[in-house]
Amino acid sequence: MPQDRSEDKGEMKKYANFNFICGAVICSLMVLMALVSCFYTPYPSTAMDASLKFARPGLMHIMGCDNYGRDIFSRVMEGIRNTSLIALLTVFIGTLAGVIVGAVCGYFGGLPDEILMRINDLLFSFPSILLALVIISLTGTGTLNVTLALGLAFIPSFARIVRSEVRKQAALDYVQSARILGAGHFRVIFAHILPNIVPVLLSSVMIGFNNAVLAEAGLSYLGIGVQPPEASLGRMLSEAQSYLFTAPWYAVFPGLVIMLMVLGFALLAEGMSEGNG
Amino acid sequence: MFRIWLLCMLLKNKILRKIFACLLTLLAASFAVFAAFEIIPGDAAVSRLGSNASESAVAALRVEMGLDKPFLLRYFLWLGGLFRLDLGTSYSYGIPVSEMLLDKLPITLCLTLMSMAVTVAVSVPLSIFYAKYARSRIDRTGYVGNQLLMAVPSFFLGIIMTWVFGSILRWFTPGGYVSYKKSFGGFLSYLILPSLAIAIPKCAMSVKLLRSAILTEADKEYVRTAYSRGLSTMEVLYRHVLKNAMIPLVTFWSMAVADMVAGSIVIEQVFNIPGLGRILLTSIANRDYPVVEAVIMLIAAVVVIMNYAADLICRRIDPRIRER
Amino acid sequence: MLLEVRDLSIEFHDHGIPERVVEHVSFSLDSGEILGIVGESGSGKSMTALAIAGLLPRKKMNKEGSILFEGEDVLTMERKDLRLLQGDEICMIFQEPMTALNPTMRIGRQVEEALRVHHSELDAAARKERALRWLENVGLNDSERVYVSYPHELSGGMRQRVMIAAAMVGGPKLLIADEPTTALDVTVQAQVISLLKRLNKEERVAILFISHDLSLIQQISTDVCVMQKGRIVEQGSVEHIFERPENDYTKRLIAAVPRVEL
Repeated sequence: MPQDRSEDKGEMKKYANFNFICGAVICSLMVLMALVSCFYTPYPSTAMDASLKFARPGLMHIMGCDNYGRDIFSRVMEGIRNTSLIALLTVFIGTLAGVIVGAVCGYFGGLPDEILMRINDLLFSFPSILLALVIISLTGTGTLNVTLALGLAFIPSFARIVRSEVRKQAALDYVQSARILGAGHFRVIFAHILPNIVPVLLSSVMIGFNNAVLAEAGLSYLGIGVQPPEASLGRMLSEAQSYLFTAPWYAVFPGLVIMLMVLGFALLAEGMSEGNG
Repeated sequence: MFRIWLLCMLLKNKILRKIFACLLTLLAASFAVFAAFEIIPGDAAVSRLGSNASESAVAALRVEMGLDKPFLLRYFLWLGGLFRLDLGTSYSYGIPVSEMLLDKLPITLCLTLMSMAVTVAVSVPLSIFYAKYARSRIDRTGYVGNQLLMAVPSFFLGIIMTWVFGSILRWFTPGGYVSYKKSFGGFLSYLILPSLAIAIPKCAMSVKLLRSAILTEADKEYVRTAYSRGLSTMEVLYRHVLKNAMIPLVTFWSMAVADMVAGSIVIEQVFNIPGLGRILLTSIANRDYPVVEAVIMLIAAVVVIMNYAADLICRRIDPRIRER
Repeated sequence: MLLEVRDLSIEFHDHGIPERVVEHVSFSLDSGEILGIVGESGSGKSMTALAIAGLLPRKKMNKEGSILFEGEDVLTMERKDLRLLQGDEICMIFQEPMTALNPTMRIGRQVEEALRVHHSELDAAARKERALRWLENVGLNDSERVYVSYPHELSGGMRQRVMIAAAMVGGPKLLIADEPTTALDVTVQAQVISLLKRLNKEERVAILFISHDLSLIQQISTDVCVMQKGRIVEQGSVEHIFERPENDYTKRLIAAVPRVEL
């Protein structure tokens, strides 16, 4: 802890930039892999070849092969696609519903806001993966159900952020003047207030995306979520665990990719929020 | 009349009011949980007997399970049971749920407590260390490591640990879980790796949070006042800064406990530990709703109590919150 | 001579381009005297004060000249020797008493802190007794209650009195007051000024009073330095400067002082 009271803003900015660039590189790599996997993977992701069972990572198969002789790299690519798709949809549902609930509650306030936010606070502190598990136990497993469950589980955190931001903005003068000029409540919320909270929302979307990736990986590790033979990073890890001592690479690569994905978006979010502040 | 008066008097006390609010929240949660499992399609009796069971058998079972009573009555019966710690009977095992949970609770409890202990014990000194060397090379390296550890899913960490310590170093036997009834020492030592796997990402987040909180506090004016009284940097840190910087962390930790309970569901799977998570997963798969409901209520209670505890601690630390 | 600042220059090295905030400042202060420094914000007066109190960061800053406190140079002193002076011989009070007090620590502990650091021979009871005496001495009659209060429970004027008590408790020879009344109401301002004057007389503590308000300086001190853009542009006794200001900037400052017409 330096006795230095003057914060070195220039240096901070430099590192925020560094974070942002690193994050952007990792993220675009991931997005690229996901996109490419839609029409090209080095090998068909479900093609089995008994002779290649547990092939070590090498030139032909850069991440090696799994217990069925499937190319892990191809499956990782597909896994990235599935995971990010689910995460994306999850965040979309969470943000959309969270923004609506949060904005309306924060803008109008009053008793409904009080009650809704009480519930929201409880749900918010309830671990999202558990919330998703509860919902899944009601709806059953499957990709769609998992996406929905995670999406619902992410609403509270977005609603909370949006509400507090909207409350801050609603107290400002420009909102009052917009009201005096005759703008309706919903126009004020969606045309005046929301654009101002986009920066805050954007970084929380990034963090939400991260949490979604982690939660999805966790769920599919538990066998809930993307069903085989479709590849999923979490499920690959759970399959790999049985062969951990014979083929550690089977577990290492999918895990590293999850880590990289989360890291990339975390750095991006960090770079963005520090660059703004 | 007297009762209402008493209630009003009690509600004047802030702490009692808070406890009352907690109970109310739990009540609402219990209703939500019960209702949620009520609206799902499918009859519990049918699903238990199989779809080709005779109608009379299903009806008989419905009476036995109490499904013929109206919804609200059943809710209140269930709620009454919760207070007596009678959580109903498991559909699939036919034994009382409380018995099942009581058996597994110590496992998850130990795991969570150990993870929390590691998190607190490691993150506080580490953040102080990083904050002390803020913006130096040590801090930068630590920052990179921290970001990496924050990004690791705990179950991947668990798998890597199994591989490194089980296969390469051969320090422990994967899957060699020892029941706490057999040997408590063996049980605890088996839990070390799982608790580390849960704790490390949380630890990284705590360090990040506390480091920046310390730096934010260090920029405040009262720190300059403290220096002007001739305190050394360490004295300023321990007497003034740390207490103020702990406030955001306490809230984070209270949520981390709930997260750790949830995280233990996955970690128990990685390390093959038969704890609460295992029960929850099998019950979900078997549609054993009394068990699922009980586990959820248990975790909801943990969440509410932790929130309350965090609030209480923050009030202790920061007198300004007490006023509100 | 209690304090002698000789040719002090301070240069920041924060943003690549060095920035000189204090240039060739010299003045001196005898024990038991009051010296005022006046100047607008950014004139370097606060930097000078912080430098004397030893509160400027050691890195990223270039300091030239010397600050002699009882013949010893505060600028080049080892940090641990400096700490022996801070809070014991040299004390400081700040502009914003709300933020200058630790919000989560009871007033009593904060007032006692200097004793805790410098007078380890005193036990808890003796410390408390001294703290209570000082709280009363600065005009906080309800000292027992103030002792157990938190900063946010007091008014602005009370907080500044607490700050003064916390500074005076160690019996310093020099009290640096950096705009101590700027954040306060006018009536409270006058009370704090008269308190400082009384302390100066009773405790023989020298005061370096820093303000942007020349009329305050006029009330409290006999000598004054006028600072502008890091330099001292005029220096002398208050009467002298009010009657025969030589510098344009000083003239403007005097013109800005509201006169009470009788």
